[in-house]
Amino acid sequence: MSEYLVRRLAFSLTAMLGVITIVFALLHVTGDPAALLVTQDATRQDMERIRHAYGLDQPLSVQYARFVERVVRGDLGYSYRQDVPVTELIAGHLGATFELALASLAVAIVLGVALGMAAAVRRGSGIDAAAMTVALFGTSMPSFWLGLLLIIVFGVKLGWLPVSGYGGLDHLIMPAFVLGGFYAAQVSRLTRTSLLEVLDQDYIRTGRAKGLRARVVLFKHALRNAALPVLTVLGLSFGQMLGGAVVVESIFAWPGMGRLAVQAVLGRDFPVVQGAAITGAAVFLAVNLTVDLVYGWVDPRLRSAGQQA
Amino acid sequence: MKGVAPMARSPWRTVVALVVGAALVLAAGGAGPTQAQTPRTLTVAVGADIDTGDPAKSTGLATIAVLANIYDTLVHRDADLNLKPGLALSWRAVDPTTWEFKLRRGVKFHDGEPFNAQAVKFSFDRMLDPATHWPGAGSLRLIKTVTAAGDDTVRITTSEPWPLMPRFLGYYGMIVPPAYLKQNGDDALVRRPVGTGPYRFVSWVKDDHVELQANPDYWGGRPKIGRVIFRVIPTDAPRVAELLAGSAQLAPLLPPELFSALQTSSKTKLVVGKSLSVFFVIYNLVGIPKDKPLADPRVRQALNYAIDKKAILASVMHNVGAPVATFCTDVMAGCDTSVPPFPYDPNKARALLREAGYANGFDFSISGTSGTYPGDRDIVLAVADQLNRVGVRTKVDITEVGVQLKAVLARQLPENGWFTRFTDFFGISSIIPLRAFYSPGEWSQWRPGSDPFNQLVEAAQAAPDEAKLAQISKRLQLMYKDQAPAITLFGAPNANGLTRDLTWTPRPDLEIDVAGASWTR
Repeated sequence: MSEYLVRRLAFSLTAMLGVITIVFALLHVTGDPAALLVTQDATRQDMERIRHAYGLDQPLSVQYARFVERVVRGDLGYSYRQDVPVTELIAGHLGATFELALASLAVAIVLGVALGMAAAVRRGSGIDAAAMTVALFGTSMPSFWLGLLLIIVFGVKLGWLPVSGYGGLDHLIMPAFVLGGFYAAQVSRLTRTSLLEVLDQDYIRTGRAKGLRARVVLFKHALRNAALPVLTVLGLSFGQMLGGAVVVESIFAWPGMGRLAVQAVLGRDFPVVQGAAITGAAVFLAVNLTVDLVYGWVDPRLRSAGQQA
Repeated sequence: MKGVAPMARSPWRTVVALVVGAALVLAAGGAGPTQAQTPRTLTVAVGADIDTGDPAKSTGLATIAVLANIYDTLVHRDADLNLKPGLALSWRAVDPTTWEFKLRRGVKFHDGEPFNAQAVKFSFDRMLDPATHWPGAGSLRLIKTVTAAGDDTVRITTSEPWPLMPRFLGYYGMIVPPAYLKQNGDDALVRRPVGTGPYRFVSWVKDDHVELQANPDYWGGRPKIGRVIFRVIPTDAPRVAELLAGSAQLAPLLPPELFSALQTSSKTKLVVGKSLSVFFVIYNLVGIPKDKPLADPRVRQALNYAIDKKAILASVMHNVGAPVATFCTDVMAGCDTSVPPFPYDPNKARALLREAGYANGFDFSISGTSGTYPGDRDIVLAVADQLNRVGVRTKVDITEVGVQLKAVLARQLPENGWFTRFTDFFGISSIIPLRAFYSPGEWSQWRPGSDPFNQLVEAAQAAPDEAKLAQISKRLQLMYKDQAPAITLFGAPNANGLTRDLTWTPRPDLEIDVAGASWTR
C-alpha cells in the first residue's frame, strides 16, 4: 500500500509540474500584463518599468526557472493587480469554494442516488421515465440558465431566497442546487445503470429467494456493490467543484476560486493564475487519491488485492 | 483607460444577459413582494471588486469608483466636471512651471490625523516614486517636485509648463495619511483605507463586499445616506435582479441588453449619465504602402459616411448614447460640439470610393472583442454589415482583449481596423488624440502619420489656458475629420439602474459618488 501511495504521489507531482508548465506557457504567449495594467496614458517607459518590476523583461526560460524555484519553496508570489500575496488571495477564496462544493456534493449524492434508485427499482415504469427525464434536463440545461431562472423565481418573484451573495445557509441553497443538480443528473443515470446490473446478479436472486426483505436486499447487498462506479464519478465531480465553478460562482456572486481564476486570466495576473492552477491541480489530485483509498473500504476485494501486490 | 480588466466581462456574460434580459422583463412586470421599506443602508451592486484600498497601487476603474468616496483629491470636480475646491481651496500658477495650492484648514483623516501640506507632499512623493509602481504615474510625469510651504500651502513644480494640471488633479492624486502609513507599514492602506473623504472604511471582504460609513465630520457636510455597501456581483443580469428584488438600490454601468428590464419595472429606473468614452474603429495605418486603399484619406472618410450611427445606437444600444463627431464628447474641456459628425450617406461613400479608384470596393477586416465593452460584439458586427453594403467586404475577427492589445502595442495587428473604446477620465478634449492618434503615442496605429496633426496635438497639450485649448481643439477636430484616421462611432453608454426610491447622479468619470445620493421616501 505504501509503495502504491508513493507511486501515486510521484505521479501527482509530475502531473502538477505539467499543469504549471502549460499554464505558464499559455499565459506568456497570449497577452501582455503591462498592457492591461496601465492606462492609455502610459508611456513606453512606464510599461518597461512595470515589465522590469515584475521580471517580465527576462527571457522566458529565466522567468520559468525562477517561478518553479519559488513554487517549490511554497512562495506563489504577489498579485500584479492587487499587490497582496497570492497565497493570501487563495486562502481567502478556498473556504467559499469548499463550502459550495460540499453542499453541491450533498445535493448530487442525495438527489442523484435517490433518483437513480427509484428508476432502477421501478424499471420501465412511469417513475423510471420521470426520473430519467429529470436527469436529462439536469445534464442538458446550462447552469447559467437554470441559475438565472431560479433567481427570477425564488429571488425576484417569490422573494424567498437572496438573489445572490455569500452569507448564511439561505445564500447557499440556489448555487448548491444548480451546481449539485448538474452532477446529480450524471450520478442518477450511473446509479440506475449500475444498480440494474447488480440487481441481475445471482447473489441478489439468492438473497430474495432466502426471503430477505426487499429493503435489505436493495440497501445492504445491491447498493453497496453498485456504489463503486458512482463513487468514482462523485470523486471526480468533487474535484472539479473544488477547482471552482466559474459560471455558478459568477451568477450567484459567490467569492470562490473559479472567479478568482477567471478574473486573473482576463487581467493577465500571472501569479494568481498560476497559483490557482497549482491549487486546483493539487486539490483535484488529493481528492482522487482519497477516492482510491475509499475504494478499499467500500470494496474489500480491492483492499486484499492491494495487500497481495 | 485600458487597465480595465476588473471591469472586463467574460464573453458568455453577454449571452447570459441577452437571454435573460427578456426573462427579467417578464419578472419585472409582475408584482413581487417588497422586501425593503426605504432601507437605511444603500447597497450598490457593482460588477467588479476593488483591487486594493491603496490609491497609489491601482488606476483600475472599479477601484477608483469606490475609493473616491473614502479619499479626496486637491481639486474636486462636480458632476459636470467643473473644477471646484477640494482639499485645496484655491490654486494659481505662480509662474509657468509652478502651481500653488492653498489648502483647506481643519480637515482630519478618518483616524484623527490632521490633514496638511506635509500629507500632500507625502502622498504625491509616494505616488510618483518609481518603487511604488503606481500605474497612473505616466499621467503626472510632468510633476517635478512637491513642496510644503507652511502648513496650508503646497507648491508643485513641473518640468514644463502644464496649464491643465488642475484638471488632472481632479481625478488622480488621492491624499493619504502619512502618520498612519508610518505607524502601520507602507501596505497598511491596501486592506484598511483611511482618507479624508465623505465615507469611512468599515470592512472589505474580497470579492464579496466593501462597507462604508458616513463621515459625520466631512468638510463637505455629512452625507445623507449613513451606510453604504458595495456588493460585488460579477454577472450583470443578477445585478438587475437584485434591484428588482429590492436587495440592492443601485447597479452602475449596465450593458444595453438589460435596459428594457429596468425601464419596464415599476420599481426601477434607468439613469443615463454623460460619457467620457468614445467607440472607434481605428485604422491600422502602421507603415501603410501608398497603393493600399486606407492610405487614401478619401477612402477613410468614405467608410465614415457608410456607417449609420443612429441605427446602431437604436438597435444595439437601445438609443443610449449619441453619435460623436470626432474624438471628444460634450463634457470634455475644449471640445467644439458644433463640429458635426459624418452624416450617414452611403451614396457619398460609394462616390468617394469610386473617386479613389475603388469602385468595386476592397477587402477590409476589423479586430473586435466580445464582452469587454458594453455591446462591443454587436456594434462591430453592425459596422461590418453596413460597410458591406457600400461594397467594402468586411471580415470581423473577435479576439480576447489581452491578445488584441498586445498586438496593438507591438504594432502587429493583423487586421485593418481596431475596434476599441478610448476614455479620457481627465475630461480634456486633447487627451484622446494624444493617446490614440498622435503618431509617437503608445497606442497610435497612425505611423508615420500626419506631421501637421502631430504638431497640433502637441500645441494642444501646451495650451496656456482653456480658451486657447478650445481654439486649437477645434482646428484639431477639423483636421481629424479631414484625415479620418478612424471610423468614429459614438459615446460608450454610462447607463445605471436605480430603484425608484433613490436619487443619484451618475458621473461622467464613472466614480460612484454616493455622498450626493439620497432617498426620495
